[in-house]
Amino acid sequence: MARALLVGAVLVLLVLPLAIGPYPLRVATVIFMWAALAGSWNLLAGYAGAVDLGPVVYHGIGAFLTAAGMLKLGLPFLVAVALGGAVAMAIAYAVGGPTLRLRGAYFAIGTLALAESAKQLALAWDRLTGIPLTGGSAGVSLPLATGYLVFYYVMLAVMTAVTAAAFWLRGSRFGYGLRAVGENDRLAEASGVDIHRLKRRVYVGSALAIAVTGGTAGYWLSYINAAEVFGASITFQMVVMTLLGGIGTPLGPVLGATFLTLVSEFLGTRFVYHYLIAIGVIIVAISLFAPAGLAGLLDLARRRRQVAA
Amino acid sequence: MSLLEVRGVTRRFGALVAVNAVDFALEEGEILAIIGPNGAGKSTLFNLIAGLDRPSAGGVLYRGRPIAGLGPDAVCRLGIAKTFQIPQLFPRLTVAENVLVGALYGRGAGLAAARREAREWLAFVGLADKAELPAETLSVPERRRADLARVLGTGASLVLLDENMAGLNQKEVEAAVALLRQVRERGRTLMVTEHIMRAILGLADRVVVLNYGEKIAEGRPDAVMRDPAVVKAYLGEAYG
Amino acid sequence: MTFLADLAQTLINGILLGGVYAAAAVGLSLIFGVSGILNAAHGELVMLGAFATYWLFTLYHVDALLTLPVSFALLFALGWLLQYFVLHRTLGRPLLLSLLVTFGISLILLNVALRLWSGDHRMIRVPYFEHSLIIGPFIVPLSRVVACVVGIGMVAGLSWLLASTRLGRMIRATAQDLEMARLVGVNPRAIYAVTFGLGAGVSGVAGSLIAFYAPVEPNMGLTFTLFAFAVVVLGGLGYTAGVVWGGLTLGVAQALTETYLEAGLSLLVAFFLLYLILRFMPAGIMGRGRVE
Repeated sequence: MARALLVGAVLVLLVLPLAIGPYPLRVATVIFMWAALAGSWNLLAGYAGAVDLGPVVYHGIGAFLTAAGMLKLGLPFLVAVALGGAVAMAIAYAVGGPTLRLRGAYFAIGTLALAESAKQLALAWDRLTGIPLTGGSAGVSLPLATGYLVFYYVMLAVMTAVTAAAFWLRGSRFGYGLRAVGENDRLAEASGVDIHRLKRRVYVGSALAIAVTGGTAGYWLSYINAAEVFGASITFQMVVMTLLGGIGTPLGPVLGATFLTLVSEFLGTRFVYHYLIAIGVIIVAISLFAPAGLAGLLDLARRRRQVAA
Repeated sequence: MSLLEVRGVTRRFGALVAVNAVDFALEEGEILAIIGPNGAGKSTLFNLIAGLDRPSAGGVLYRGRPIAGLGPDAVCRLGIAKTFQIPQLFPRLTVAENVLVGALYGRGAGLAAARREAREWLAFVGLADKAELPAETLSVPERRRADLARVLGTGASLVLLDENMAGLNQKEVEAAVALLRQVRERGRTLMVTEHIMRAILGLADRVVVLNYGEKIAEGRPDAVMRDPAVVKAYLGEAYG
Repeated sequence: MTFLADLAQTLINGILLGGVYAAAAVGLSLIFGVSGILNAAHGELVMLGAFATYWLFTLYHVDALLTLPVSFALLFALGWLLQYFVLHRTLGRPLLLSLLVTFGISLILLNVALRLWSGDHRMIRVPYFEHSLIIGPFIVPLSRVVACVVGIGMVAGLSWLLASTRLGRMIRATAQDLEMARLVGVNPRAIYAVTFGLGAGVSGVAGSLIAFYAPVEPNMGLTFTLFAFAVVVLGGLGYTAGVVWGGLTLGVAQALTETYLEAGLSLLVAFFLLYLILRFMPAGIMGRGRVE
């Protein structure tokens, strides 16, 4: 029953562009983008229990490599973004090796340090290496896209893939292993789970999704610069959307992304600081009082109804 | 070839020598008890065998293959699994899922087979009715039984039980001993450490006694308990 | 010969930086050592102290050095309130919870600051810091010397407070054994609040010292949070005196980068150094840190 609902929802989303105008379409695309990003973060943090504060690294890598692929190599968008994704996966594999050996808060701080290092490196890249890639603080302009349906569908695809992965984790062998790592990693290890390998697989998979999203967003906006695409505020939003929606649940990131995107659209560009202040308040409130997030509250409401019935 | 050979295993923590050149072997199908006063190094020895710690010197051979220094997951997949003194669980997974993880990754079974294994072992330890509850709802004695089910679910040929009977009353101890005999009948080898002497002595085929990290006696239970060195270690100089 | 002179000047620069970094990190270390809270909003406390000095100096023409105690008082109050009313709920719960909650607080503080003061870089010019000391071939800006000396002085003062005063004993007792401390009449919630207040106050003063010689802007917080983590981990997590070693190491590493590589890379070097230490020397350079 539930699965039929979800498949139905995806089908509706597939044909939605026929029915709605450009502004709602844009908002939907933004929601899909954040749901994809938050959902990727949720896979490692919500299931494997590893709070990564540097996922934005792959966002930036995807953005710049997609731009380079299109501008320097003349590749069509989809090929360039696939290239960006592949390179991001390779980097994630290499970086994940040593980094995933860190645990708990050390992993969080270490990934944050890595992300800030990457941002600094990107800002200085052109000057340091002589390879014009990032445009320093000036950034890079991409060719303007004709039409925007491609962005809608790419973001929809990534969001669907990431959400489907989360559902799959609930009943698969890999999923049980990963969740065991999240619940008690030392016990998982003592029960035969190669915790490092499992975490790394999720890390690399997330990196792919995040890079594709970053590359697509860059092309969509037609302009990227290092400070923004490697910026910590992207990580912060991924975290808060997942926490708000319900960490460790497949639909939590989608709920959180939908809610916060609509709020920020409502507040508009005049209130961007208010929006971010509100995010800070939400993180504090959710962490202290409702760690299960919106999904938890919905679950609670459903169970109360069952008891009352 | 013995199932397990512990050769000259030593573990130092700075100036403290927790385990000092301990040697013994374990044959397939045996029940070996490791006993000794508090601080004798029993838990450290168990951790060394299960891959949770690395010896400073010496080696451990499992079916002739050196395993010292392998990680706990590799050791588990080879066939050695240990219960925890303070029982560990995956709190928000169900009790059945707690055992399932071990069956999937320790034994390497497919999902359907692993689910069957999990149900079987939970029934074996008497927790079948709790299978779908979150593991964190279990009481401490129930957690110990779940831990045992988990270890058995990994398919380990060598089962290490680290004070798995702590806190049980006499009847419960007898039931636990009977259960462990059944485990042996199913073809597993057991290495057990306990403070409850009566349980050990009734259960074990052989006993190894540690004191201050050294092996001071080894042999059949009745012989070992009469050994003056062992009596002295437990009761002190005055009774030597 | 000039290589050695350059190197020596670089080391002096590094030590002067290091003293301030130690002061900027000791609050983080104290709070973690006593309450077990990893304060992700630490850098914002430094930033607020810097702004306190900036506004007091610019709007009210308060003497730069006199802004220090005011900065301390303001940040102490903020820290005390944060701990007493919000953070006390994170005690006894997993480490990551305090990291997430303080992370939320940092977002709030940062964006309130951006909303009030915008992202412009601002700098004060204190007349009596216009001079530099010239010692032989070495040039040492007075502002940095004062900042370093006061910074180290604060670290020393805090150590003295913890070691020799009644309050310090109560704080250390609470850190070591909460149950025993309760039994002898210590009120833990108040002690944790005072500790956080002290940590915040010291961080605020460190920010004020930084304002003497560097531009001030709201986004500097994140940088100082990471710097402080680097200093604390370098010196050994939970080992508060280690911040001096950690600060010196970070300061010298930065100075070396600025002289021999280029100024724009100093942040990169600092952050990457933090990553390397977390990965390969989590117990710090002295090996006395607590490892998870």
